Amino acid sequence: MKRSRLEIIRDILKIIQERKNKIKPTPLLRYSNLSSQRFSQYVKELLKKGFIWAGEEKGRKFFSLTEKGSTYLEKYRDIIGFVEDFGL
Amino acid sequence: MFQPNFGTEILYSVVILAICLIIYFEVNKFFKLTDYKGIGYFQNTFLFFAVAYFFRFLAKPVVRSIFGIRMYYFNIIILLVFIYASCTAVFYLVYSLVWKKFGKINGEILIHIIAVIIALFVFLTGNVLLFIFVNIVLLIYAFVVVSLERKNRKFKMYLIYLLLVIFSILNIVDLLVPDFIFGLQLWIYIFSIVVFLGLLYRVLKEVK
Repeated sequence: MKRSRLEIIRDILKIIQERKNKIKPTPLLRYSNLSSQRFSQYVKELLKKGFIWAGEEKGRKFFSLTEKGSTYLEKYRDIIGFVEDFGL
Repeated sequence: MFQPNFGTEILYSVVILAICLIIYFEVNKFFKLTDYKGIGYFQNTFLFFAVAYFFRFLAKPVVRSIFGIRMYYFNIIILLVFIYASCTAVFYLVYSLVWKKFGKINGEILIHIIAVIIALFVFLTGNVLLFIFVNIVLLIYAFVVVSLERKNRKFKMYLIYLLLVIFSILNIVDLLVPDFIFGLQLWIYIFSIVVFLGLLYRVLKEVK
Protein backbone atom coordinates (compact mmCIF):
# COMPACT_ATOMS: atom_id res chain seq x y z
CA MET A 1 0.00 0.00 0.00
CA LYS A 2 1.26 3.48 -0.88
CA ARG A 3 2.46 5.40 2.16
CA SER A 4 1.18 8.90 2.78
CA ARG A 5 3.53 11.86 3.16
CA LEU A 6 2.94 11.93 6.91
CA GLU A 7 3.74 8.22 7.18
CA ILE A 8 6.97 8.55 5.21
CA ILE A 9 8.12 11.40 7.45
CA ARG A 10 7.25 9.31 10.52
CA ASP A 11 9.19 6.33 9.10
CA ILE A 12 12.32 8.37 8.38
CA LEU A 13 12.29 9.97 11.82
CA LYS A 14 11.68 6.61 13.50
CA ILE A 15 14.59 5.02 11.67
CA ILE A 16 16.89 7.78 12.94
CA GLN A 17 15.53 7.45 16.48
CA GLU A 18 15.93 3.68 16.51
CA ARG A 19 19.58 3.97 15.40
CA LYS A 20 20.49 5.81 18.59
CA ASN A 21 19.69 9.11 16.95
CA LYS A 22 22.61 9.01 14.56
CA ILE A 23 22.56 7.49 11.09
CA LYS A 24 24.52 7.96 7.88
CA PRO A 25 22.66 8.92 4.69
CA THR A 26 23.18 5.59 2.87
CA PRO A 27 21.62 3.28 5.50
CA LEU A 28 18.86 5.82 6.05
CA LEU A 29 18.07 5.70 2.33
CA ARG A 30 18.07 1.91 2.39
CA TYR A 31 15.80 1.55 5.44
CA SER A 32 13.39 4.25 4.30
CA ASN A 33 12.39 2.33 1.16
CA LEU A 34 12.37 5.37 -1.07
CA SER A 35 13.95 6.13 -4.42
CA SER A 36 17.06 8.28 -4.04
CA GLN A 37 15.27 11.21 -5.65
CA ARG A 38 12.32 11.10 -3.25
CA PHE A 39 14.66 10.44 -0.35
CA SER A 40 16.61 13.62 -1.17
CA GLN A 41 13.36 15.61 -1.36
CA TYR A 42 12.20 14.34 2.02
CA VAL A 43 15.58 14.89 3.69
CA LYS A 44 15.68 18.43 2.31
CA GLU A 45 12.17 19.04 3.66
CA LEU A 46 12.99 17.58 7.08
CA LEU A 47 16.14 19.70 7.35
CA LYS A 48 14.22 22.80 6.30
CA LYS A 49 11.46 22.14 8.82
CA GLY A 50 14.01 21.51 11.54
CA PHE A 51 12.96 17.91 12.21
CA ILE A 52 16.51 16.61 11.67
CA TRP A 53 19.97 18.12 11.55
CA ALA A 54 23.02 17.07 9.59
CA GLY A 55 26.34 16.70 11.36
CA GLU A 56 29.78 15.46 10.41
CA GLU A 57 32.02 13.03 12.27
CA LYS A 58 35.43 12.00 10.98
CA GLY A 59 34.56 13.51 7.65
CA ARG A 60 31.35 11.48 7.31
CA LYS A 61 27.91 12.98 7.25
CA PHE A 62 25.16 11.80 9.63
CA PHE A 63 21.59 12.77 10.51
CA SER A 64 20.10 13.24 13.96
CA LEU A 65 16.64 14.06 15.26
CA THR A 66 15.93 17.49 16.69
CA GLU A 67 13.47 18.19 19.49
CA LYS A 68 10.88 19.16 16.88
CA GLY A 69 11.41 15.83 15.14
CA SER A 70 10.88 13.98 18.42
CA THR A 71 7.71 15.99 19.02
CA TYR A 72 6.42 14.93 15.61
CA LEU A 73 6.98 11.27 16.50
CA GLU A 74 5.25 11.70 19.85
CA LYS A 75 2.28 13.48 18.26
CA TYR A 76 2.06 11.30 15.15
CA ARG A 77 -0.79 9.11 16.43
CA ASP A 78 -2.78 12.17 17.51
CA ILE A 79 -2.20 13.86 14.14
CA ILE A 80 -3.36 10.79 12.19
CA GLY A 81 -6.35 10.42 14.52
CA PHE A 82 -7.24 14.06 13.95
CA VAL A 83 -6.94 13.79 10.14
CA GLU A 84 -9.10 10.64 10.09
CA ASP A 85 -11.74 11.78 12.56
CA PHE A 86 -12.22 15.15 10.86
CA GLY A 87 -12.16 13.55 7.41
CA LEU A 88 -9.23 15.66 6.20
CA MET B 1 -41.11 37.82 20.57
CA PHE B 2 -37.43 37.95 21.32
CA GLN B 3 -35.47 40.65 19.54
CA PRO B 4 -31.70 40.53 20.09
CA ASN B 5 -30.43 43.64 21.84
CA PHE B 6 -26.90 44.98 21.94
CA GLY B 7 -25.94 42.80 24.93
CA THR B 8 -27.13 39.61 23.24
CA GLU B 9 -25.34 40.49 20.01
CA ILE B 10 -22.04 41.23 21.71
CA LEU B 11 -22.23 38.11 23.89
CA TYR B 12 -23.07 35.89 20.92
CA SER B 13 -20.33 37.38 18.74
CA VAL B 14 -17.65 37.25 21.43
CA VAL B 15 -18.44 33.60 22.26
CA ILE B 16 -18.39 32.46 18.61
CA LEU B 17 -15.30 34.56 17.83
CA ALA B 18 -13.44 33.14 20.82
CA ILE B 19 -14.37 29.56 19.91
CA CYS B 20 -13.28 30.07 16.28
CA LEU B 21 -9.95 31.58 17.28
CA ILE B 22 -9.24 28.85 19.85
CA ILE B 23 -9.98 26.18 17.21
CA TYR B 24 -7.78 28.02 14.69
CA PHE B 25 -4.78 28.27 17.02
CA GLU B 26 -5.16 24.73 18.39
CA VAL B 27 -5.36 23.22 14.89
CA ASN B 28 -2.45 25.44 13.86
CA LYS B 29 -0.20 23.46 16.24
CA PHE B 30 -0.71 20.37 14.07
CA PHE B 31 -0.44 22.35 10.86
CA LYS B 32 2.89 23.91 11.84
CA LEU B 33 4.20 20.45 12.61
CA THR B 34 3.00 18.74 9.44
CA ASP B 35 2.20 21.32 6.71
CA TYR B 36 -0.61 18.92 5.85
CA LYS B 37 -2.90 20.68 3.40
CA GLY B 38 -6.16 19.26 4.78
CA ILE B 39 -5.34 20.58 8.24
CA GLY B 40 -4.43 23.96 6.74
CA TYR B 41 -7.76 24.26 4.93
CA PHE B 42 -9.60 23.14 8.06
CA GLN B 43 -7.94 25.80 10.23
CA ASN B 44 -8.66 28.45 7.58
CA THR B 45 -12.36 27.58 7.90
CA PHE B 46 -12.34 28.92 11.44
CA LEU B 47 -10.22 31.94 10.64
CA PHE B 48 -12.83 32.99 8.07
CA PHE B 49 -15.71 32.13 10.39
CA ALA B 50 -14.06 34.43 12.97
CA VAL B 51 -13.83 37.23 10.39
CA ALA B 52 -17.42 36.60 9.27
CA TYR B 53 -18.84 36.72 12.78
CA PHE B 54 -16.86 39.85 13.62
CA PHE B 55 -18.25 41.68 10.58
CA ARG B 56 -21.69 40.22 11.19
CA PHE B 57 -21.57 41.86 14.61
CA LEU B 58 -20.62 45.21 13.03
CA ALA B 59 -23.32 44.85 10.41
CA LYS B 60 -26.17 44.38 12.90
CA PRO B 61 -28.43 47.48 12.94
CA VAL B 62 -28.55 47.51 16.75
CA VAL B 63 -24.73 47.62 16.88
CA ARG B 64 -24.42 50.19 14.10
CA SER B 65 -26.83 52.51 15.87
CA ILE B 66 -24.92 52.26 19.17
CA PHE B 67 -21.52 52.88 17.57
CA GLY B 68 -23.00 55.49 15.29
CA ILE B 69 -21.79 53.74 12.14
CA ARG B 70 -23.77 55.64 9.56
CA MET B 71 -21.35 56.06 6.70
CA TYR B 72 -22.87 54.46 3.62
CA TYR B 73 -19.65 53.14 2.07
CA PHE B 74 -18.43 51.77 5.37
CA ASN B 75 -21.64 49.75 5.74
CA ILE B 76 -21.24 48.39 2.22
CA ILE B 77 -17.73 47.18 3.00
CA ILE B 78 -18.86 45.55 6.25
CA LEU B 79 -21.63 43.66 4.49
CA LEU B 80 -19.44 42.58 1.58
CA VAL B 81 -16.68 41.31 3.87
CA PHE B 82 -19.26 39.45 5.98
CA ILE B 83 -20.76 37.61 2.99
CA TYR B 84 -17.34 36.96 1.44
CA ALA B 85 -15.90 35.58 4.71
CA SER B 86 -18.98 33.41 5.35
CA CYS B 87 -18.74 31.90 1.86
CA THR B 88 -15.00 31.39 2.14
CA ALA B 89 -15.35 29.65 5.52
CA VAL B 90 -17.91 27.16 4.18
CA PHE B 91 -15.87 26.60 0.99
CA TYR B 92 -12.72 25.91 3.02
CA LEU B 93 -14.64 23.43 5.16
CA VAL B 94 -15.87 21.52 2.12
CA TYR B 95 -12.46 21.80 0.43
CA SER B 96 -10.72 20.37 3.49
CA LEU B 97 -12.81 17.22 2.97
CA VAL B 98 -12.33 16.84 -0.78
CA TRP B 99 -9.00 18.55 -1.58
CA LYS B 100 -7.32 15.29 -2.59
CA LYS B 101 -9.80 14.94 -5.45
CA PHE B 102 -8.54 18.17 -7.00
CA GLY B 103 -5.04 16.81 -7.67
CA LYS B 104 -2.73 19.62 -8.67
CA ILE B 105 -5.48 22.18 -9.25
CA ASN B 106 -5.18 25.03 -6.77
CA GLY B 107 -8.68 25.08 -5.33
CA GLU B 108 -7.81 27.87 -2.91
CA ILE B 109 -7.78 30.50 -5.65
CA LEU B 110 -11.17 29.23 -6.86
CA ILE B 111 -12.55 29.49 -3.33
CA HIS B 112 -11.72 33.19 -3.11
CA ILE B 113 -12.85 34.02 -6.65
CA ILE B 114 -16.23 32.30 -6.20
CA ALA B 115 -16.69 33.86 -2.75
CA VAL B 116 -16.06 37.36 -4.16
CA ILE B 117 -18.51 36.75 -7.02
CA ILE B 118 -21.19 35.48 -4.63
CA ALA B 119 -20.62 38.38 -2.21
CA LEU B 120 -21.00 40.92 -5.04
CA PHE B 121 -24.06 39.13 -6.45
CA VAL B 122 -25.81 38.87 -3.08
CA PHE B 123 -24.97 42.46 -2.26
CA LEU B 124 -26.00 43.93 -5.61
CA THR B 125 -29.21 41.93 -6.03
CA GLY B 126 -30.11 41.54 -2.36
CA ASN B 127 -30.86 37.92 -3.20
CA VAL B 128 -29.43 35.34 -0.81
CA LEU B 129 -30.75 32.40 -2.82
CA LEU B 130 -27.51 32.04 -4.81
CA PHE B 131 -25.53 31.85 -1.58
CA ILE B 132 -27.87 29.22 -0.14
CA PHE B 133 -27.95 27.27 -3.41
CA VAL B 134 -24.14 27.17 -3.79
CA ASN B 135 -23.70 26.12 -0.17
CA ILE B 136 -26.25 23.32 -0.47
CA VAL B 137 -24.75 22.05 -3.74
CA LEU B 138 -21.27 22.00 -2.17
CA LEU B 139 -22.58 20.25 0.89
CA ILE B 140 -24.26 17.54 -1.20
CA TYR B 141 -21.05 17.16 -3.23
CA ALA B 142 -18.96 16.80 -0.06
CA PHE B 143 -21.51 14.38 1.39
CA VAL B 144 -21.38 12.16 -1.72
CA VAL B 145 -17.56 12.17 -1.77
CA VAL B 146 -17.35 11.41 1.94
CA SER B 147 -20.04 8.71 1.79
CA LEU B 148 -18.21 6.95 -1.05
CA GLU B 149 -15.03 6.94 0.98
CA ARG B 150 -16.58 5.95 4.27
CA LYS B 151 -15.42 2.38 3.85
CA ASN B 152 -11.84 3.60 3.87
CA ARG B 153 -12.01 6.52 6.24
CA LYS B 154 -13.14 6.78 9.80
CA PHE B 155 -15.42 9.79 9.62
CA LYS B 156 -17.53 11.01 12.53
CA MET B 157 -17.87 14.70 11.98
CA TYR B 158 -20.25 15.02 9.06
CA LEU B 159 -23.31 15.85 11.17
CA ILE B 160 -21.48 18.69 12.92
CA TYR B 161 -20.23 20.04 9.57
CA LEU B 162 -23.78 19.89 8.22
CA LEU B 163 -25.10 21.86 11.20
CA LEU B 164 -22.24 24.33 10.91
CA VAL B 165 -23.17 25.12 7.30
CA ILE B 166 -26.90 25.29 8.09
CA PHE B 167 -26.31 27.79 10.90
CA SER B 168 -23.90 29.76 8.75
CA ILE B 169 -26.69 30.11 6.16
CA LEU B 170 -29.22 31.06 8.87
CA ASN B 171 -26.86 33.74 10.18
CA ILE B 172 -26.70 35.30 6.72
CA VAL B 173 -30.46 35.08 6.33
CA ASP B 174 -30.83 36.64 9.80
CA LEU B 175 -28.81 39.65 8.68
CA LEU B 176 -30.11 40.10 5.14
CA VAL B 177 -33.73 38.94 5.50
CA PRO B 178 -34.42 39.37 9.25
CA ASP B 179 -38.21 39.06 8.82
CA PHE B 180 -37.78 35.55 7.47
CA ILE B 181 -36.68 34.20 10.84
CA PHE B 182 -38.18 36.88 13.04
CA GLY B 183 -38.45 35.70 16.64
CA LEU B 184 -36.22 32.68 16.07
CA GLN B 185 -32.93 34.52 16.45
CA LEU B 186 -32.37 33.46 20.05
CA TRP B 187 -32.72 29.80 19.11
CA ILE B 188 -30.38 30.23 16.16
CA TYR B 189 -27.83 31.88 18.45
CA ILE B 190 -28.11 29.13 21.07
CA PHE B 191 -27.86 26.29 18.56
CA SER B 192 -24.98 27.98 16.73
CA ILE B 193 -23.05 28.21 19.99
CA VAL B 194 -23.84 24.57 20.80
CA VAL B 195 -22.56 23.46 17.35
CA PHE B 196 -19.36 25.52 17.65
CA LEU B 197 -18.83 24.27 21.22
CA GLY B 198 -19.25 20.69 19.99
CA LEU B 199 -16.54 21.25 17.42
CA LEU B 200 -14.28 22.97 19.95
CA TYR B 201 -14.68 20.03 22.32
CA ARG B 202 -13.69 17.57 19.59
CA VAL B 203 -10.72 19.64 18.50
CA LEU B 204 -9.40 20.12 22.05
CA LYS B 205 -9.88 16.43 22.77
CA GLU B 206 -7.85 15.45 19.73
CA VAL B 207 -5.15 18.12 19.77
CA LYS B 208 -4.63 17.98 23.58
